[in-house]
Amino acid sequence: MSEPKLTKDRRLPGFLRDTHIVTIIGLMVLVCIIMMILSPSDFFSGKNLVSMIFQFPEYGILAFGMMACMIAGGIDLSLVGIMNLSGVLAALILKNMVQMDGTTVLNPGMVLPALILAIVVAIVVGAACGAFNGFIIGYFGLPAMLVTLCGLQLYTGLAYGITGGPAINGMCDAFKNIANGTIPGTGIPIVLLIFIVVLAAVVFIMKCTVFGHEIYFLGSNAKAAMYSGINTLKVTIMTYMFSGILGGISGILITSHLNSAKSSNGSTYTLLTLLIVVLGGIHPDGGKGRVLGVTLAVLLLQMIANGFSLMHVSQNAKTFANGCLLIAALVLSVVLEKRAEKKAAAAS
Amino acid sequence: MSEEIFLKLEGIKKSFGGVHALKGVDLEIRKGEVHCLAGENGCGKSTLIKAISGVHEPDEGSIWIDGEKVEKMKPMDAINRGIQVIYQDFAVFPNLTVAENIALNGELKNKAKLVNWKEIHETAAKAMEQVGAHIDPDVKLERLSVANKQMVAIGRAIVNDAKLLILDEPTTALTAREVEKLWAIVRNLKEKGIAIMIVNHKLDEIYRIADRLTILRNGAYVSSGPISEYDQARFTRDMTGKDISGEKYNAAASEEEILRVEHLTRSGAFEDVSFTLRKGDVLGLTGLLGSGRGEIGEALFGIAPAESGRVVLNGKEITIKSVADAMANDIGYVPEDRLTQGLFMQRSIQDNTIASSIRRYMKGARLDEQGMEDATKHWIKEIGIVAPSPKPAVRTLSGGNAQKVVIAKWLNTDPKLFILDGPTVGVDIGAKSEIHGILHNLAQQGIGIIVISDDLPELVQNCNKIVVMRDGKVAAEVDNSIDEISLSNLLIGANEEEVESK
Repeated sequence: MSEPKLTKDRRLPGFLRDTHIVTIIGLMVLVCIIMMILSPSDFFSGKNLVSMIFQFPEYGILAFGMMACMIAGGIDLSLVGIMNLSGVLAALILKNMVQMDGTTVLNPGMVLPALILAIVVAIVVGAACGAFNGFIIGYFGLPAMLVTLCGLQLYTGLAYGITGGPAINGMCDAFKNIANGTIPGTGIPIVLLIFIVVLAAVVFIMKCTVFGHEIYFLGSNAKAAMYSGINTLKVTIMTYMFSGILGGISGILITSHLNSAKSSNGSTYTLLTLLIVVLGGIHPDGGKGRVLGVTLAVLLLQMIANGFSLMHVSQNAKTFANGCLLIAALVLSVVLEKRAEKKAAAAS
Repeated sequence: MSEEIFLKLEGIKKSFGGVHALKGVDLEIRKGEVHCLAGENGCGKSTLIKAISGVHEPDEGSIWIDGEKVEKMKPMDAINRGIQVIYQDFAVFPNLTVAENIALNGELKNKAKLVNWKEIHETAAKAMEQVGAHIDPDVKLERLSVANKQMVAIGRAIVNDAKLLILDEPTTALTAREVEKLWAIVRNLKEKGIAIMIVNHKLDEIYRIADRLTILRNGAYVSSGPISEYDQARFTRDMTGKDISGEKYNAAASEEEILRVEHLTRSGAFEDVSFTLRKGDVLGLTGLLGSGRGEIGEALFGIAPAESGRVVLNGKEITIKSVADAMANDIGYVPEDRLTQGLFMQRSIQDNTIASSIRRYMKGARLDEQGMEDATKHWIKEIGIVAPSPKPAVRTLSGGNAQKVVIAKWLNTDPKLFILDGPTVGVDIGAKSEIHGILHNLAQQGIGIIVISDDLPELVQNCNKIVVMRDGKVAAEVDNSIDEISLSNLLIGANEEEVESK
């Protein structure tokens, strides 16, 4: 259909007009330059790049869950709890089904069924935890921040109750390989492939499905969504389920990565994922943001963390630096928004 | 009323980034008069109030208060000179008590470090007495009715030595009885020599209270004078700049019934409501606030379903218990508050347009982006939304265009029954008549149209049938031969015999 009146937008492609994305790319370049000056040989070595790839998928996937909930106008602080509960259950299944003597598997025929069951259970448990969050938030109209904070305690407590405290260690090599191995003959980490598949699924859901659009509608204006005939309770439950499923996948990855499952793994990830999504341009009030921004923010944060460890900066200093970044990202998002509003006002 | 002038504005101009909100406005307010400021939405009334209260400094023009020229006025200067504005939201603190709301300002102004509770209660009691309202000073504001919150806001203004009290659309959320009470208070304050400026554009209300009137249009001064110099025709002409043709909508007679509502009841909202809508009808549903007019729309759309009664749509009896039920029966609904209920302001025109019909665009596993864009372009052209493309965010649109987007959202679902609550509130006059045109077209295509409104001229001109609600019941059903004054009387239940004998 050609309409003479409706002129086609002929400016830069969408993502380059998004100030957040431009900012992140700028910051990535900045980190590269700084690392080039400080320790060029280490940072750009192939070995270092591969080590980075092994690290970010587990929290990167969590960040997508956080992103979906924040776009829907909420937040998911329970993700780390879901991740550990799923991880602990997966580890438990593997330990019980696959009999080991040291590192030797005594019943190799059980490895594949155990792996599949562990993964399915982790994802189903993640979905169930998420659905529970979503139901409490949507049905009773409680603030997502409080509900998911309670959820974090609840799921962490459950995981602790199951392990009884000590970590579950020493799963079979096939499981360890998920997050530590490479695709045979290529040297490409399996986790990278998993991350890319998850990323593609997230992009597809957010952009090409009714559900994805409904998440944006809900976050932009929950009341208008209701008046537009969108079942807001259903969308809320589905959003947190989606987030929970990603938490479950992440649970598999971190348990495999550390070859150990306990209730307190990855406890810094709650803040880290929050930092990633805000930096990635997801508006704290909901309704706005792109998967691309979050993906770039995941990479940026990995680069910064990696830079810090190459320079032997202490964990405390890293935490401090992340706090500063989070504040800066929040302030920046408000400043950018105000500027955009002024521009829009001047243009009209 | 004396001839002494309290406030005088001359040639006030103000622009915001190239938009001329005020293009040289004159205004004179005398001591002890009730002065009405009238004009269509967007005519600059709010900007003018902000200029008077020191919020916006005018770009040009001068302000005299009590004979003294004031330069570079700040909000605190205006307050110190006795100018008090009561905005539509009253700017009260809901979590504080009546007494605290009334007296705390004064305490702050005196730069007191400690709160003197005895004094606060005395001040509050005095203010309530002056206003003539009886409200428990220890009740928290959030527990009061809208009318009582307004009383508290007025009381607070009086305590702060108001010499000019500006009321911004004070009657919008009041019932008829509350409006009368408010006018009694206004008259009482007027006798004390306080000047009162009321922003209002409802002629019937203006006649009851105002001494003089100033009309603005598109940011410019149009006319000013005693209320006796204005009749209906001049008032409308000065407000809108056109002689309203007075041409009314008439449906082609048809016996084909689209909607029949029988004995619809929801306790506490409406009771035993029955009406019929035939093909071609634009049915008006009116009544005062609290009469149940809006609630019927919400019941037919399933937001607050009716408890009993029958609804027959196109010959089929339907049950509406949820929004999903209503949509399954092809009912569309434009809610009363466009900003909070109707639109996703941050999202694009396209997203808003397809929000209620998105499921139609599933092509296999994914959404058909092109199909959604084409549909949006179709409606942009079809109902005349002024926008360069489907992509800009709705918040960049004017009120009229934004409302057309809400309408497009529902038209894209192919409704058989289309209910609109306050379809032209906050819409400029041009877009208003365009929206009415759209509705007439739809009605002629056989879509049932219900317009819920308290804008009486709108109803009389655009509906061929008007159902009047009072206290939750149908008070009358009239056709468009009724004049606005009789309709207004029907609304408040005055001169009942006289009207019914017509």
